[in-house]
Amino acid sequence: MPMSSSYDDDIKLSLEEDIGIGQVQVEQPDKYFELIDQFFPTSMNRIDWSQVSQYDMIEFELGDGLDKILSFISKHIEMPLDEDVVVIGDDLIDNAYRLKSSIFFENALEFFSIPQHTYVLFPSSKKCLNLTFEGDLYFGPV
Amino acid sequence: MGCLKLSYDQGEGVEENPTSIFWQVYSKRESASKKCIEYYRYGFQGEFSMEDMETGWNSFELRNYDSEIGRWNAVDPYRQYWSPYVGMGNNPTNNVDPDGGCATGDTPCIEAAKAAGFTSQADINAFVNLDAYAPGMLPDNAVNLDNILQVGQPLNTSLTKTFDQAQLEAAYESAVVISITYEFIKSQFQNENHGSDGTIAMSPPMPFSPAKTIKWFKDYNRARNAAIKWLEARGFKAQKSVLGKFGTIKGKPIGMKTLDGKIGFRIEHDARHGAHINVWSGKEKMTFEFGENVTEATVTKLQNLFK
Repeated sequence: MPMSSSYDDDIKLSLEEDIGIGQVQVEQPDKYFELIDQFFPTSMNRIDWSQVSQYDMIEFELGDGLDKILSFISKHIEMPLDEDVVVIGDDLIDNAYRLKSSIFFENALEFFSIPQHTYVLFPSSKKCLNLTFEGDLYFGPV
Repeated sequence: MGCLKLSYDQGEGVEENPTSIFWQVYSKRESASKKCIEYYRYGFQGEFSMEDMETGWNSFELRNYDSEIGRWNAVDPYRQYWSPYVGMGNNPTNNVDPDGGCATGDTPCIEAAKAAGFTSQADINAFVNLDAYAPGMLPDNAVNLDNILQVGQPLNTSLTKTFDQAQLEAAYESAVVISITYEFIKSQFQNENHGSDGTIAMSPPMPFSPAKTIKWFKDYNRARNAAIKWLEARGFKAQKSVLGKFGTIKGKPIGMKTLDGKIGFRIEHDARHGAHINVWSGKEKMTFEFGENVTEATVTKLQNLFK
């Protein structure tokens, strides 16, 4: 069973119903960090977006709301809402959360409120949405 | 329409009976009379607040205050006291809080003002009321203190005092300045405020993005000192390493945190922000950038201090 920080506890509480009916899987995150290492250039404990040939970036604060995230992503992909995504954080959450993208977006602000580098992986399209600690929201490759 | 002058003996008033024409006339007159009572709206804390007729709260620039229970109805943006709702340090007769943000006559605002080199009461009051240097107000192009000084002035139009760079640097290293959060900035500029004539007036538009919780320091030591103060104010204890997750840094310490992980810091470097210290407490966060050309190698050496 994966470990669970207090931040994980908050996330699990928000996702309680979906976890209960199997719409959200709580997993170990290690393999997803390896996936990032494999597909993205990394430097100093984060994706080095300056080395990614095609990416987009905006500044994001929680007060900007979900609309800003959706309009940012929808510039680049038409994403079916039943596609699986995986959410991991590089310090404060101990688990990886595999869930439908629709469920992720419903809870995106909860995930993004945690002060860490948060990665949302789209395994089928090998893309990544990354909110950094500093408030930069990256998406790529585009 | 002038005020109705209603006179009656309390003990011999009209009996409450909604079907009675006498009761209806009486109740309408009483209501009109209450609306027309003229009272001094600036009683509590003088000119700094106005009393709301409906709630009885005193409306300050940043928060409303309930003088009956001696508490603010919103949290303190400056975190001046142990409780974010304590009003005037529980000493409203001696302390004055001009805007609902920080009471004078008490710390840490005074300490910060003194750290900035102010000695006279007028200067200290000016500093305490100065919101211009909040990190959330930094414009995107504010990369040094000179820029901050230039853009800071218009935010408080009543302030005429200017500050030199040494004062600003000292102020920046004080806890009171760095504890101001984005929520405070946002509420100050986006919420409705009571105008001086008692009407509701919209606040001035944001002069620039409030999103930044990032500050810049000339060197690591200054950034570190500011970060330490920020963390200490939140009860930080270095009990556990923050470990890297990627590449060559995987499994190596990049910072420290409390056992429960709720408060901590990490030293980082990226192409966009350069070298910086990220600190957090709960879901509150701040970034202290330092130096202009600090390399990844230097940051790695700093990270190695936490082995």
